[in-house]
Amino acid sequence: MRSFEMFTRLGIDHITDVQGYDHIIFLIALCGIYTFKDWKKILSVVTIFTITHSLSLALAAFDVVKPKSEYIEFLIPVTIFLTALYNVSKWGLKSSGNGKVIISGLFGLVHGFGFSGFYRMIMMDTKPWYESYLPFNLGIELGQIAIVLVILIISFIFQQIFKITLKTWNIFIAGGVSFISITLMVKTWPF
Amino acid sequence: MRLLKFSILFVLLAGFGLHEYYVSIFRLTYNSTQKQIKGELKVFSDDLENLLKTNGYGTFALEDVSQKEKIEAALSTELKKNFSYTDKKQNTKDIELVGFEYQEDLTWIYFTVNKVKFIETPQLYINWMVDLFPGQVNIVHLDRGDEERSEFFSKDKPTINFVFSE
Repeated sequence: MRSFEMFTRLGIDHITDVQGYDHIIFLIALCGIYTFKDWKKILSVVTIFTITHSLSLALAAFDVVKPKSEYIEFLIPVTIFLTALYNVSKWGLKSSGNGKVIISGLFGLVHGFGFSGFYRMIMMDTKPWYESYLPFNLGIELGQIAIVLVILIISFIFQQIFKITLKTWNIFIAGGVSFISITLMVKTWPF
Repeated sequence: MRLLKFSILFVLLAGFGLHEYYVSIFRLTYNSTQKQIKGELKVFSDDLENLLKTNGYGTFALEDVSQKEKIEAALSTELKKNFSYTDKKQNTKDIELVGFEYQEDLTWIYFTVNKVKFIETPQLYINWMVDLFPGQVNIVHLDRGDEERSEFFSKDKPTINFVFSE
């Protein structure tokens, strides 16, 4: 296997690993309330998330900033919980507006720090940085797209086939995601 | 009702803790002049301390220089037990520990694989840390100079043949 393929696979495996489900839950909180017709909004939300998490991953991996991992592990479920809260707020219930894009960008920074511990381990110190950084991020991106597609399909099934209203679906997603994020906050409490 | 059934998924997920990732990196670089492979094994320091303790070598802090010799002896034993390099003619090569370097959360273990005349289709056996962490993945980069190959080793897949061009 070539190293490009290897690092791409590592990126995909890292974000789609169901046993490390916090990033998946964040994507559910981020995109779970959308449908396929909102593809432009999804694209902007996912793109800004990618840009900011790639940036913070690089900052941490190359030792520009060194956030303590126990705080990051706690902050990740906090971002999930706040996103779920936003979804059921009067701003979140409106599909227009850029609130979700801002949230996605801001919280992407926290998730990038979360990816950095794993990346620092797998990066090759003797090779140019881009030989592992670019394919690893590409893998995360591909994994992210796959997860969002699955979320949209499930959302479509519930809303279009089972006729669950958008409002009910939104509250359901917010409730479920909040429940998990609070549990994770308790488990990762760093203070 | 359907939503209620679906919500069981959320409850189940919340019940599980987040799974830690267990990974080590082997970087093997061939030096054709010295007929030797220089090996670098990158591991999480806490996992390594855990391994040495669990396997009965004692409780060590890797940064403690007064324990250096004992740690190196333990690492040499573990490495020889869990890593082997066999060439095309089925000769298993000698491995020699060079030392280790501790840098906070990460530790580098250095070693050599000796008397390697040429790299063509070597077989590598790597069982590093898999008894301690069944989900452990060992990533291996083998650089011959003109070509490089990478592979994943795991508990279910401890032996892999690397194929280089002749």
